[in-house]
Amino acid sequence: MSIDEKERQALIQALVAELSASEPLHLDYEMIEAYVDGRSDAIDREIVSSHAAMCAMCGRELRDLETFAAQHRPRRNWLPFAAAAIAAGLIIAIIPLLRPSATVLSLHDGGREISLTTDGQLAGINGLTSDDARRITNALRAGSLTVPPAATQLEKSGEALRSTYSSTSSFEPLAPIGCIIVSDRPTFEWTSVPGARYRVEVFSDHFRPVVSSGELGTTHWTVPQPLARGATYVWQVTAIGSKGETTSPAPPVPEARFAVLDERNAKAIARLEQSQPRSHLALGVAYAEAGVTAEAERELQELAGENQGSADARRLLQSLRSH
Amino acid sequence: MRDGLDPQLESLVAARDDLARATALESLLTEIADPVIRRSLFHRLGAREPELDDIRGGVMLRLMRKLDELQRGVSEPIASFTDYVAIVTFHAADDFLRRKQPQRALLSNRIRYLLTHDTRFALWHIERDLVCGLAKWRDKPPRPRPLDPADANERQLGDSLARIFARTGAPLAFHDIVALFAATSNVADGNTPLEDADLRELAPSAFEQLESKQTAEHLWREIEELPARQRTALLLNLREAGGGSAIPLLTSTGLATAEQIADLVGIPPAELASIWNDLPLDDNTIASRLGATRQQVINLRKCARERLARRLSKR
Repeated sequence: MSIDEKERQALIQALVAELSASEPLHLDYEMIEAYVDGRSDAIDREIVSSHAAMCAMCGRELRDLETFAAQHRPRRNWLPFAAAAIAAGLIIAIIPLLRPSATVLSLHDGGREISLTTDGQLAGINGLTSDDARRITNALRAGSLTVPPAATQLEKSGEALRSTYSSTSSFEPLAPIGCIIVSDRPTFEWTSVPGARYRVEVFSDHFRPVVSSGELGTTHWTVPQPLARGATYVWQVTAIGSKGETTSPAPPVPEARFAVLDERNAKAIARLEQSQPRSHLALGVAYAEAGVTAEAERELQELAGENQGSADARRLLQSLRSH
Repeated sequence: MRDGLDPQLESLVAARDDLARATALESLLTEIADPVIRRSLFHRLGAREPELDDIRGGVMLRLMRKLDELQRGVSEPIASFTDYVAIVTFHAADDFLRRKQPQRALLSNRIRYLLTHDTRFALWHIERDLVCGLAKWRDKPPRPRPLDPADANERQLGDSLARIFARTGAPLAFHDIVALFAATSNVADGNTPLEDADLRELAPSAFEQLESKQTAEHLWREIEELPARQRTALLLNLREAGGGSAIPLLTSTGLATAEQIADLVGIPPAELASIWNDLPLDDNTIASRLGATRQQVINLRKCARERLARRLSKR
């Protein structure tokens, strides 16, 4: 075993040991209650929402207590209530005079509170371009996202390919398939064939050769030079063994297609990742509308996790999934 | 001897060969841990719980992992092994009950919420037990009283509690109140199958398979996808088998440059270089970097593991 391979094995062992370590996390009642009451800090909110999304038991308990808490307003002494009612009355009376617009929805997003007012103003998130703000506002108002048809088309081609492979072959391409990717230097992955070496070939949408890997000993390969942005590609991997060569996917199986995100959207997303690294809403909407659906799903799941009781966050996620 | 280490653990930590290690481990598990586990589970679940052996086995497995980490110097010292065993067992029993009796767990949470949010009532601790009653009784010990099932109506929890406390005239053990409502609320958890509450416990071999099936590159890409705080909590504490930081392995294997790692853990490259020899960082140091508590860092790391487990299991 080479030194490099030894180090690689040591790294994998460290990661596996880390993943297998220690007791599992479950949310205790105090953590759930603090989350429901809005008393958790941003870190605990992340912990609670992250775990509740993974654990059926804790997720169910969290949702149940949220529902219960919403239905059972705490009984208080009448005096503070009366004072609150009077204050609320005054505020209601003053509001028309000051003419601020009302909040129509609000969401927790990366530890912040983002709200949308009746006149379409986003509050709680700074540094957006007018385009980004408009996209988010429209998505929140409509409760839906617009995914480009090209992304939908690509996804369908990917589903067609995967459904074929699940029943006929064990040597298959894994990624990228049926998606738009942000990086212009994708890493290709495929399943292994014992004892084989491999060759990856990337073609243009019109099946002109673009780049080839040469022979590889691994089941992944990253393109050394950037691919053209906005272009769609087809790729194949060939296993070279002692008994000959096998190429996958090969006709009549559908092609493995993917597209590289176009220049304009790639820049917009890079800028947003820089300026709003913690905003699942902003990133989720941007990814979705650029057609980068896997990343959009991840961000919107995070958003829904942070807003367990919110139909608005859930609606965006459902919209993405049903496009 | 290590500071803050329970003297009972000294023979394990000092063991220099496999035989000495196995002997110390067996002694700790059979002579110290097992009686504590059995006693705790008996008090919590009774002696007839059919899954008692499984729960005990699960606790033993966790203890063995912890003791292995301790022996390798990758875990912080345990000040009281007996207390540690009791806490691990308590959580294991609690998790078991929550999974086995999910409806009862929901009911318990609702009652507890009402007791702490309705100003008529209060909930307090007497030693390790939860006690509840009218607010004016706070901190008084419970006085067992016969309870009338007719007073308990889950649909009117607040009024029911007021009725029960008016009749008893004294604080009650919280679990007695939960038992009363559970008995009268058609809580039917008896045949509920245990669910997949902990991916790692139910599929312990899943991660071991990674060594053969997954590549370091794939694991690394999944780590890159983690939320920033979870990634930082995981990476800054990541250790290789000898207890040193695993981060240098990332650079030496070409998986990531120091600059990329610095970016991923939110530390300027120059600063990362300055603490390179101090890696892995302990939880308190990571906590101060993240503006978190030590427990939050531990929980962030657990969240990271869960996410990785879920994502890897989907492949």
